[in-house]
Amino acid sequence: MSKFTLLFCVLLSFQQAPLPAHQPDEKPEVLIQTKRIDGSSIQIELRESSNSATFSVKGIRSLEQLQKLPKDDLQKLATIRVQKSLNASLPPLLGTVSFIDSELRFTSRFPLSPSVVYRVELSPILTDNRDASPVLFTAQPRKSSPQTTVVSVFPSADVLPENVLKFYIHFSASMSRGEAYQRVHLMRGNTEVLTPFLELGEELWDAEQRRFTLFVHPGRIKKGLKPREESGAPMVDGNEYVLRIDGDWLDAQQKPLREPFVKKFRVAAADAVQPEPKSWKIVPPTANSRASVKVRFDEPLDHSLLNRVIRVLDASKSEVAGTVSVSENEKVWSFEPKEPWTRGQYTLVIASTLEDLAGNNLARPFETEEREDNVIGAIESELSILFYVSGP
Amino acid sequence: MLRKKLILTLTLCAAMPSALLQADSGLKEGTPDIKHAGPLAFAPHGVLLVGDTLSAAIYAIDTGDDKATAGEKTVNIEGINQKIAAMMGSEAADTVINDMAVNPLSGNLYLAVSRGRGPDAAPVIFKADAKGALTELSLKKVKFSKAAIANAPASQEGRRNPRMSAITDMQYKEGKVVVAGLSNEEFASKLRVLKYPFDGSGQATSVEMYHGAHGKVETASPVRTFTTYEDTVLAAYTCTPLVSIPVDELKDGAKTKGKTIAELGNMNQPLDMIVYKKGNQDYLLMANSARGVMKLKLSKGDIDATKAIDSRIESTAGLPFETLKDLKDVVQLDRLSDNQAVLLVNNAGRQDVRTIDLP
Repeated sequence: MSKFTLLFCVLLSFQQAPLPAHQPDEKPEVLIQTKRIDGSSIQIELRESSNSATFSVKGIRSLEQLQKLPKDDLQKLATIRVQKSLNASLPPLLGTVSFIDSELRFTSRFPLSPSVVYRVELSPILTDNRDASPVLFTAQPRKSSPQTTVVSVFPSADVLPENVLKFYIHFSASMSRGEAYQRVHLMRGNTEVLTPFLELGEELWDAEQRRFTLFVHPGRIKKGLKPREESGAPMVDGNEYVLRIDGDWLDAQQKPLREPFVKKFRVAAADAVQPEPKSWKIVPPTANSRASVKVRFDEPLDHSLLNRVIRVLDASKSEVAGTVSVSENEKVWSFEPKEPWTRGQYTLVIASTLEDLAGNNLARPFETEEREDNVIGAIESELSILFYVSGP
Repeated sequence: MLRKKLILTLTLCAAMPSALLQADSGLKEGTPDIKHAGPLAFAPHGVLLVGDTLSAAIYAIDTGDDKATAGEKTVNIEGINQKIAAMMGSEAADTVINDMAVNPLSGNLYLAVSRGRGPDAAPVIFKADAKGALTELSLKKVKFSKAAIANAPASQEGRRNPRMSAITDMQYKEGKVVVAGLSNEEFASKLRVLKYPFDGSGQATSVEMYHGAHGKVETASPVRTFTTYEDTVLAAYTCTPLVSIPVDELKDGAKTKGKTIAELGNMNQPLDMIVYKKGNQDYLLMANSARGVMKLKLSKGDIDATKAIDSRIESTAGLPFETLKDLKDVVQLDRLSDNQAVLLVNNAGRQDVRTIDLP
């Protein structure tokens, strides 16, 4: 064998080395509990990883015979059930049974659920034909985490237009899906406004489920639509309202919020007018500084859209890196660049999808009178506003 | 000789595995990285389409379940959510069935499930056969393709991008996948049309939808559920107009206007709908949150001839419909065979799958 061939073989064997049993993002298995079946040589170990759980049965006597069993019979040697599901005679856990050395292992398809009690039923063949009673294991409880709170609700102003279209509810941690519309209430005094919100089975969360978007029922805002004709507008000019968020809304750890949250506000006249960029005031920064460029609007705009749809371009039309902040009840947008400004021309590029609190955007009001001369431009077009950075 | 050749060709065709028939479907073996299994629909040859809001994508997955079984089937499964939860080692309260679709070839039922309610809930797809046997559809090493419906712009460095477009419904229609979506920020309703097999461009036609609701007021209300009928999309909105939109008008960047053909009542969310034929008559069956299951006679002629509802109406208007009194708490429905539908029904904390004869 030449040196090259030898080297090749070594490389090959390196490549064929078994991969680690777990993926990089998967935590290794941890031994949770060991239980022994009374008066028997059998003991069962439970190990949990982030992707599955393994129940290992040790001390099996008639090992050689069992190892020869066909796959389907092997599967019947160990059955795991959710203890609570027993009365309803529900199916057992999905998983695979195999022999590894002298152990019989049941590896579950899914990880165990926190604090759920599992019941291990072993075939009498394993336990020397004794009627061994099933063994119960309790999965690890969830790690304790601080209680989740409502961090903020937008719009943040105390006075909102009668036709306010949406609220954003921000939480300190991830929330649980599926009960949002039971947990949010619109109150006028002690009376709850009935069905004020657009209830969508999907529930509009962000990917981390830390921000919930709550649309007011558009049919009840729009004039002339049936829901509004029948039930009236959910909010009426001149009245005080409370958006109440229940404390028993469950977070992603299945724990209730630390406390309920209320947002009190007064309702003013409806806003049927599109935002008017001509009336915005731009406060340009000075060159060689990292001071923010600010845009002051004449009305509050949508908090989430403000954070996303405005970009700053330099004279060569490259996007300037920096940080956006929104303040003064969403009436001021600020942008702090990562690097100091240089003298010259910059452009604010604003998507026409930017909305005010009543869903009027730069391209169209929320309610449009259909007219031939009112044809909306390209969808998702952009508006450019120039500003100049001067100074030394 | 020619005859021999013909016979040989015919024999080859008959023996041609479905993989060959799908040669142009662009499916490649791998493990799709589905993050959320939402709306389901079937493309030809037993290919399951899965809408994934979190990945902003539609996945096409070869289920291998492409053997046609003729005739009637009956799928009845009591407490299907409890059964699925037990199989996943979890509890029913922590298990969500997001959608249900029937494979029109085999009549098997597919369910999109979330194991958990948090942001890291695992997506799982279950299959139920006519005997009620439940199995998991493994997504490891399957033939699949993916089409992005991404509209999320590149976020600035280090900044979270909370914008998402929830996929509210999805249908396959003659080489096209129509997807209804709703943004969690802008108030806009979009229908996207993707060519199927996915051409890899990742581009979806995006159409902003309006319907004339009253007089001259336009509205951009979100589409809750829709189906296709002849050359139109029949879309149900949130409060609850039924609107027809010609499929041909769904063009990129276009603003299109639907025609309101029925008003089905207030304080109601349409949940799901199907089209079917009984005798020589077409019907639409629609499940609702508050107004039960409705049945409408459909015909292309009626849709074209119906005067668009553009004036104030007292309660309901347009095409006539009846509410089926014995069907309650239906949250999902699909056609099981020419004469049957399968329902997912809320029943005192549990969910049941029931087969009914089409009304």
